[in-house]
Amino acid sequence: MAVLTARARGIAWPRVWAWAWLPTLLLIVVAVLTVTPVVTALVAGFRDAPPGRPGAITWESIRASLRVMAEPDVWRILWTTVWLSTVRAVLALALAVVLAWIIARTDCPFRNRLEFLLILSFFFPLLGKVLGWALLLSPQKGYLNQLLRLLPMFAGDTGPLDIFSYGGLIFVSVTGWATLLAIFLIPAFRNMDAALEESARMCGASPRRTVTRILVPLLRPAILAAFILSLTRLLSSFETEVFLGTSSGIYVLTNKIYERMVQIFPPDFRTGMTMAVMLLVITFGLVLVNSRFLGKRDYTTVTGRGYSARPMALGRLRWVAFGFVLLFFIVTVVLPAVMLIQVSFIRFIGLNVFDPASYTLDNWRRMLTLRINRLALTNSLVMSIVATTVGMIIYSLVSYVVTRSRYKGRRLLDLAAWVPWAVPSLVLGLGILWAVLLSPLAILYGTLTVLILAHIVRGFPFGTQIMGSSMIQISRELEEAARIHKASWPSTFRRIWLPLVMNGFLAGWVIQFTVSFSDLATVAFLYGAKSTVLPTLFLSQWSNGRLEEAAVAALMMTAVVLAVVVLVRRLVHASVRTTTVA
Amino acid sequence: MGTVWASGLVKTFGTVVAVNDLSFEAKAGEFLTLLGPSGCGKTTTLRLVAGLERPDRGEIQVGGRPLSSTESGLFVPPERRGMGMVFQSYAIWPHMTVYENVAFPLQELRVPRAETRERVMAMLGTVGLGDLHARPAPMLSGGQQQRVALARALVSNPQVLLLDEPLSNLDARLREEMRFELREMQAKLGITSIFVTHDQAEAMTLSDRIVVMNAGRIEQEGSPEEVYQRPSTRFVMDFLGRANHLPARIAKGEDGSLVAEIEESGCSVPVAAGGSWSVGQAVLLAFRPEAVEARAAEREGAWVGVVRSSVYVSGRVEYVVEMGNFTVRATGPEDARLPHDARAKLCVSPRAVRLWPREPDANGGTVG
Repeated sequence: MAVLTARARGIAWPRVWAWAWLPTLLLIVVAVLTVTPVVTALVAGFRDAPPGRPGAITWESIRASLRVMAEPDVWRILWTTVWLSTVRAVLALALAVVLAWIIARTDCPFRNRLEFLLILSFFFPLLGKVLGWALLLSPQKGYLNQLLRLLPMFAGDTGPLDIFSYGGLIFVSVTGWATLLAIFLIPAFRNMDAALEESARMCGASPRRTVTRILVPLLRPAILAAFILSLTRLLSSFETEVFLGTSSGIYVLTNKIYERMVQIFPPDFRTGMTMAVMLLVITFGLVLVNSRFLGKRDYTTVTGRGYSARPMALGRLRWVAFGFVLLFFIVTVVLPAVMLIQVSFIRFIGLNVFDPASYTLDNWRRMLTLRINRLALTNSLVMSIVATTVGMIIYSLVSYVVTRSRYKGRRLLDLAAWVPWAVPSLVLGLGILWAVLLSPLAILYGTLTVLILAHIVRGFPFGTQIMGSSMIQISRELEEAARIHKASWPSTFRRIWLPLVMNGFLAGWVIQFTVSFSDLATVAFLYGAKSTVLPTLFLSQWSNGRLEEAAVAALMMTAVVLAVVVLVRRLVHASVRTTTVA
Repeated sequence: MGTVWASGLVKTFGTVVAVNDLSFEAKAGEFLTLLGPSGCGKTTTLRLVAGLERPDRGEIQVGGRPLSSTESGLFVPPERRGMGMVFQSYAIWPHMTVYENVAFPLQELRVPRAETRERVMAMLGTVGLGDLHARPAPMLSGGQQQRVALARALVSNPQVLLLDEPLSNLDARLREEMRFELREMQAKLGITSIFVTHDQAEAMTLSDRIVVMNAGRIEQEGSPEEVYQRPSTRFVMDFLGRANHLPARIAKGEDGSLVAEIEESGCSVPVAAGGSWSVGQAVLLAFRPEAVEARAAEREGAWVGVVRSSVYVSGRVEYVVEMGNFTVRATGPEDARLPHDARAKLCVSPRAVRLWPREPDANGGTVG
């Protein structure tokens, strides 16, 4: 008996002793990282001085901010933000449901390949899509417009289509978001037991009634979650708006904030920060409503054995379905990518495309030789690799504590890691900017360190989510079996845990890297002359009208992201055996 | 209540022939079981009857009404076949309550609301779930889900009830319990039922008649006793329970009748009259362990061997007895358990012995 107790103590020892202080430290670090930007953004919204200057919150400054909120202009922008986001979210969702249904539940030919194309399209950076379509559909020089003008009904010098319009903005956003939502929905569609539909047929329901009474209600939680997700993100979407909206006077909160604080002189911090607070309140509200709403209904718990996912036979329509998905891929990826490649080799847009003399390698040469351009590329790589690697390690620790430990504050830790979910990237950048300027860290302003910090904070919700779900899949027994079979705690971690969570870690790493590498909103307020990265380089090239070089920058982003995806896929394939255990 | 009649059913998936020229009939009110190992085509057969799959060839009728015929191109969709079905995963819709699940078929039939309520509550009472009608489906245990699935399948008074391994997701004790409940309910309603399972014990206790399937074809059809006691193929004998298989040869017995002699042993059993066996033919002699009783033996002789191991199995003892160069599984009463290494005499009931022809050199045995 005495021996047994000693043994038991020996096993429990590392947890009790060595790890007792770690969760608390982690909680403090995470809370400081995620909550500070929110607090400083709020403070800044009501403060009476621009960033970096001494100031205070007074009744006067609060009244001034409230006056901004009451301005009719601000309300108009708010209204545009809301309706534009809602329309885009609805359309993207509708498209995503059709795509997910075709790929997950029908006998559409080559559906695995089509799913791969969707994933490819997910990794095609948004900035590339935006520029590609701007080049295709700009009113005068857009190639597609030029082609359309060959038709007699569209004859003229301009149009018929204009990408710099509500329609253009909606179009580019919807194609981009539909991809992501489809990838999000496919597992939900796929995991549904086909017997649930078949039993409705056996109970006398026609195929149409089966869809309306069983399929749609069953998937409602997943579809609703997808809708809320896209709505939150579209409310805070920045890239499409700043490139396609601002030039034609279309303003939503995000590009107006940017305009007020960067694009006009002198900057109008009061309006900008007040609008940032408004945006923050809206997205926070939406996320809160969402968690209340979806917490109750989780249908995934009902899965028995004998589950089957028989695809629905579409008959001849399956080729229509195939064509639909293929067309979607061509529109979201092939057309803009081809456009970018062509423009990256042209002297300047507007030259005759059939004349070999119009083409040049100069754009690429400049990209690879000019100091500032090379700096942007190196900075981007360093920033993304460091932010993603450090970030994923922290997220893994957080997930381990949240899913596996008995630490008392683990709920709080989980919550702290979730805070950035409700914070628009642009506002997060602003919050970090203020936090840095108001603290002793001000010397870091404009350095790459701040950008790295911002990306680590932005990644918390996604990173902890993906690590948490891959850790939950590892049953406690696998860990305990290792301990019983003589493995120490570190050895258990290395030989059991690490291999089992590696795929989740790598998948999270790739996605986190992709976002860090090509996201503009997070860094738009943070970069300085020495810490320029590819997305900000792209921004300045576009602003200076050098679209040919912007195309090169967009292609560089695409190439690096794809290279990383391919590299990591190879790594994952090498460790494919572990997935069957998990 | 309808007779289910199926003829010449063929169903292939790609290059795999799941059901290969299958014909069977479930008489009105009968409980018919399709029994076989996984992948034998039993579930596909059930799905063909349900209308969830379209046969490549063949015809299906219920109560004389054609439901599916490749000759005339007729195919009635599942919702208009008037059948009830219990799925292996139960397929209880998780976004509905128990009541809503069971009321669904009646709502589809446009039964008036008051009558629906009455019938659903009566049905829930029958399956013992009357007080759970308002519970959301995800909050049910396995056994409760099973009962809801059964109630849903029966509430519209279908002509035919189809059951696709409905008990396989339950734990052992509950399975036993549900087995009897299912049988009782079926007998009370007198509904024609087709039941699919790979569990021979389930098939034995539930069925009026069993269709044993293998590789998309029927191996044997008959009452549980028939298929168990008089299996017509080695596959059926092995699938329905354990069996001893010993290489033997046909010989002339002392009284001139035919006997089967186990090779190199001197043991023999009489061959039932009516078989078409010839003297010297190589056969496989098969019998179930329950058909052999092991008793203490005084001395060496035919059918005498040595007890190598024994286990106690609820009320009797099972032995492994070594006889020369082969072993036989046998049983004995629990009150006279033979010790290890004891000499045992095996008494084989001749009626329980089955013979299958055997390739002469299959076992490499020599004639003694």
